[in-house]
Amino acid sequence: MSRVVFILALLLLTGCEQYQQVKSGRNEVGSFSVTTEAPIWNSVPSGHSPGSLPTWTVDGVTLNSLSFVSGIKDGSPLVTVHDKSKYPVFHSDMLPNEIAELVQSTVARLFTATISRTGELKPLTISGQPGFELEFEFVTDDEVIRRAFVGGTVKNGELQVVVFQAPRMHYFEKDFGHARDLIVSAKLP
Amino acid sequence: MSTWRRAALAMLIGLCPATAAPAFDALSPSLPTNYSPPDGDTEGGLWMASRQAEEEIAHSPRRIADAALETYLRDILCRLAPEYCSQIRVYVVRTPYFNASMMPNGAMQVWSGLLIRMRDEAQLAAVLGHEIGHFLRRHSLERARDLETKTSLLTLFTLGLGGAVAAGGVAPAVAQGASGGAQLAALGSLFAFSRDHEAQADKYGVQLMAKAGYDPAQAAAVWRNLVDEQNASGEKQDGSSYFFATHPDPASRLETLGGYARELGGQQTIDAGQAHARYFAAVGAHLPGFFADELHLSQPGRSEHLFKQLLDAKFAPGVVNYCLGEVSRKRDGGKLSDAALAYYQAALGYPDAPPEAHRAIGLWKLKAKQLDEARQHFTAYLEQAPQAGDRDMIDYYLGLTEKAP
Ligand SMILES: [Zn+2]
Repeated sequence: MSRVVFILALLLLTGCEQYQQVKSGRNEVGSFSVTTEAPIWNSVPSGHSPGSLPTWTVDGVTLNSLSFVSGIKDGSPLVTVHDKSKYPVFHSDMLPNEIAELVQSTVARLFTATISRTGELKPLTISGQPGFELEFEFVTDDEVIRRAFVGGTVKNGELQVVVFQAPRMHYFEKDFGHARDLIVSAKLP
Repeated sequence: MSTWRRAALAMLIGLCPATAAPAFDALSPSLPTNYSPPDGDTEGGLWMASRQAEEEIAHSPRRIADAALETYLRDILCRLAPEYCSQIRVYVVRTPYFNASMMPNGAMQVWSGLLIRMRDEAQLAAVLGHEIGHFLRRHSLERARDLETKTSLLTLFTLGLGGAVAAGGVAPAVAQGASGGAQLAALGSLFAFSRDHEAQADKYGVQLMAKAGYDPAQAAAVWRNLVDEQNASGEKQDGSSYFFATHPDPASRLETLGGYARELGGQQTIDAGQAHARYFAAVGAHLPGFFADELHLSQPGRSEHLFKQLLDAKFAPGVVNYCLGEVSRKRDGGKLSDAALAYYQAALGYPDAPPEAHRAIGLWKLKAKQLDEARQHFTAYLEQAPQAGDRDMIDYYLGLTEKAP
C-alpha cells in the first residue's frame, strides 16, 4: 500500500487529529531527543500503539514501528498494560545481556510471539553513554517473521531503549537505515 | 510388536479381561481405511478446509522441519493405528503451549510445548492416541453435522472459518491468543469437541496404546502432570486454564483413565528404556530452543515446576539445570542469588551443559566484582560458542574485567 493511500485510509478511519506526521529535524519523544532527516514518520495515537508506548510508524504499526521506551525505573516493566504482572521487570543493575533478554521476553509477551533468532548483541554508545545494540527475529501469531533493531542504555539507573521492528521481508530493510541513524544519534538529558 | 502378538493381545483385550476389573468394552473405528470423501458433501468440505489448513501449517515459519522428528512421531502414530498409517502426516510447530490436534484428513500438528511436557514415549503415545481416537471416530464430521443443523456450514467455509472446525485439538484454545493462529485458536474453542467426544477419545486412546504395547497407566500420568503444573503455577489467567475450561474435569478424567488402564492390564511389550532413548534422540537437539520459549513466557512458578520434573526424570540435566538457574534468577527479581548460581554450577557438571551456563556465571561474577572468575567464565563461553551473536558484548565485558584495579 502506498503511503498516500495509507494516510488517506488513516484519515478516513481514525480522524485526522490522531495520527500526526512527524516534522523533519529535532523532536522530543519521552526522554529522547531525536533527529529525523526525511519526513517519513507518523506518530501513532497511544491507543493504537503496542504496549501504549510512544510510537512512530511509516506505513502503519503492523508494517513497521519505532517505539520509545524511556525512563523505566527499577522494578518496572517496559510497557504500560493492565496485566503488568505478566511482564518481566527492569532492574537498574542489569547488564546488556540481561536487558536484551528482557526486551525479547517483553516482545514475546506483547506480540504473542516466538523468538526465532536470538541474533546479535554489540556495544553501542548512545548520547555519550555506554549502551548496546541488539538485532533479533520473532514470529508473530499472524505467521509473519519480523526483525527488530534495538538501541539502549541505562542512565541514572533508568532504562532508555528504542525498538524498531518490521516484517523481515521487504519492510525491515526499507526503513532500517533511517531507524538506525535516528537511534544511534538519539540524545538523552 | 509382531503381528501375532498384537492379534493375541487384541483377543486378550476383547475376550479375556482381567478378572479383578470389569470388562473393557473396546471401541472400533467408524473411518474406513484408505478413505477419502466425495467432494461437495459436508465431509468433503471438511477435508478441503483441512487441506488448506495443512498447507498453511506446512509453510508456517513456526514449523520445525526436522524429518527425523516427524518420522519418529509418525512411527508412534503407526504403532497405535497401523491400518491407517499411510493416511497420517505429522507437523511439529514451535509454540510453547500444550497442544496437539488432528485434522479429519489425517494431518496432525504437535506443539513444542507438548513435547517438553512428556516424560517418556508412552505419555506421548497417550496424547497421540487420544487424537487418533477423534480421527478414527470421525468426531469432526459429527461436530460439523451438528453445526449444520444450527447454521449453514457452507457459510462458515465461505468465510474461511471452516479450518477452525477442521483443526480442533486436545486443546484448541489452550493459548490465550497465542500461537499457530490466534484467531484459529479462538474459533477452535467455539467449535470444540463435546465432552462425550472427549471422553470417547480418552477411552480410545488408552485402548490403542495398550494394544500397541505401551503402559496404559501413562495416560492418567499426562493429566496428573498438567494438574500439578497448574497447581504449582499459582497463576490463573494463562494458557492451561483455557485448557481446563474446554476439557472434562481433570480429576474425574484421571480417575476414568486410571480405571481403563486397570481393566486393560499390564501387557507392556515396549521396552521403556529403549523408548526413552528414542524419545530423547528425536527431541533432544530442539530442547534448548523449546526451553528458551518456555522461559520467555515469564511464568516462573510454572516453569520451575516443569524443569524440576524434567530434572527428576533425568532429562537433559545440563540444559535443565541451566534453565532452573534462569528461572530462579528471574523469580528473584534478577538479583544475584545463591540458588541460581548453584543451578548454573550444577549444569557445568554435565556433558550437555550449554555454553550459556558459563555466560550466566560470568555475568553474576562481573556484578559481584569477582573479576578473575568472571574472566574465566566469559572466556570459556567464547571458546565453547565461537559463533555467539553476543561475542562483541562479551569482549566488552572482558575489557571491564581487565581495566578494573
Ligand atoms: Zn480431544
